[in-house]
Amino acid sequence: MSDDIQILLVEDNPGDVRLTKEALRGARVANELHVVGDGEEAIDFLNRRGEHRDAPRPDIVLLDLNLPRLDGSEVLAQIKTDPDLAKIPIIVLTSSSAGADIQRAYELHANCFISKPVDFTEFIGAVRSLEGFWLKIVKLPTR
Amino acid sequence: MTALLSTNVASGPGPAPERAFSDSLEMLCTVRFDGTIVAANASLLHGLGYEEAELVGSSSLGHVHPDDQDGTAAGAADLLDGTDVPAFENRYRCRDGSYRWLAWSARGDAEHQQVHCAARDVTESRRHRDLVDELLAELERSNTDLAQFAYVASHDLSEPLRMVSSYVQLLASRYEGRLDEDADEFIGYVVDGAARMKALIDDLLAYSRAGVDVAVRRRVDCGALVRSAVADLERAMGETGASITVGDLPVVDGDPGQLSQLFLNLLSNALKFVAPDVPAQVRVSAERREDSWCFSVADNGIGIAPAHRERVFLMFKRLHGRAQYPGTGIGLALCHKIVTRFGGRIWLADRTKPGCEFLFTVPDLAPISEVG
Repeated sequence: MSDDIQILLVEDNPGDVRLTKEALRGARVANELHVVGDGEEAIDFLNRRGEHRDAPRPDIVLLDLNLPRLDGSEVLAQIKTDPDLAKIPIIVLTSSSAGADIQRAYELHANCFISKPVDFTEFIGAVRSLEGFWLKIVKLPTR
Repeated sequence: MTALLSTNVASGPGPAPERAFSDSLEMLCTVRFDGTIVAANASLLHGLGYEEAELVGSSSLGHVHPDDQDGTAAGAADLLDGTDVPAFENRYRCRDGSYRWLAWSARGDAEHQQVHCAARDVTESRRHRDLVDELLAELERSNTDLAQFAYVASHDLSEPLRMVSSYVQLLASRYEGRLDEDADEFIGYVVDGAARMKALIDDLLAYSRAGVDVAVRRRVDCGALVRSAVADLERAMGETGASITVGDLPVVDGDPGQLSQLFLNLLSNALKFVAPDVPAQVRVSAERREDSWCFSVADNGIGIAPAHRERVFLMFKRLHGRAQYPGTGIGLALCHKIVTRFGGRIWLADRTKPGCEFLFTVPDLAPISEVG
């Protein structure tokens, strides 16, 4: 089992996937990034079902709200109400900055909500901060 | 049995009381308890187009629109019971077959087994009322559509915008030094364009939300609110030596989020539109009026010519080139929308001093019972 931090990115936009990868490049904390493209796959990954039978358990999940099929907030609700998965920190990382979306995410127990900035340097900054806080300062629950 | 009252009977020095019936401009009639019309004055006859003989002696209910007959019969039952009917509307058939809406007031006379009625033709006013209702509904639909459109458009535009902006920046950094000067310049324009588009989208979103979000009502300490807004603007101010003085401001009933946006927009405009190398000096104050508070945001900036004083409140109306003073041109339109929505007014003071003074009123709200 790898000692690297396991990050699950739930994101359907390949452009955003690549941006996140680029931003995580040169991260100071060793990490392994797993990507799934929709909500149902995310649930499968977390439950180690089907093609994700051998998936590692993520230490942290980056979740976009705008997903096809199973909506991001649905995924959030399912994870946070599953006693087995609820303690995994979920960071909602999404295009929206609408007050209603932010409110709803926290009501569904997201650990935090980040609006993706338009400026790429700001985005890198945000991902660095995420990394600096969640992967270094914060103590993550044991797997 | 009952004498027809339309005959003039002069008795004594003044006109007979019967003249009040026959000569009245109001449409009057008398109807027996059994529904037969026994008297109708000239105004009623003329109003409906009947000759006396065509109306008097006929059944009153027979002239009523079929859909209104049940209601009319019910009203008649009240009258027979001795209850006055002060206002009842139904459609009455005219001689030419058309229907007019009549508003009746009637009182029964049990002793003589008859009812005295007065009618007003309300056909036109009902039509106006219906038209107004229709227009209001249409307006509301249109506004909601517009707000939704603005919201959806801005929401869905942000994502492709992020792609354009982020990747061009990635390109620039990844290939730094390996592209020529032209490429650097071109990339600069793309990044700049994306940033402007982002500002526009944010402003459009704010504008659309100002119309649709449910207005919250709280006691707002405007002094604290404005000082908080000033703190937000600290960064922009520090570099230029600008100052914002906040006078004694009242506590008002309002939506703190919207009031905050309002002040932030006015203050950042005041800071922005100054002559180069002139530190901005802004003053916020308030004055009590009869049923409102009037706030003032005054600056020492470049001012706005009288000719443009109304235009500036329109969306996207900018008075200067982007190179001179950046901005989307939505700020004042947003302020106007916010102020209008809570029932106030916003305008530019007419003054000889240089700079601008924006004034806006916050009307007092009717007191509500305290909620626990």
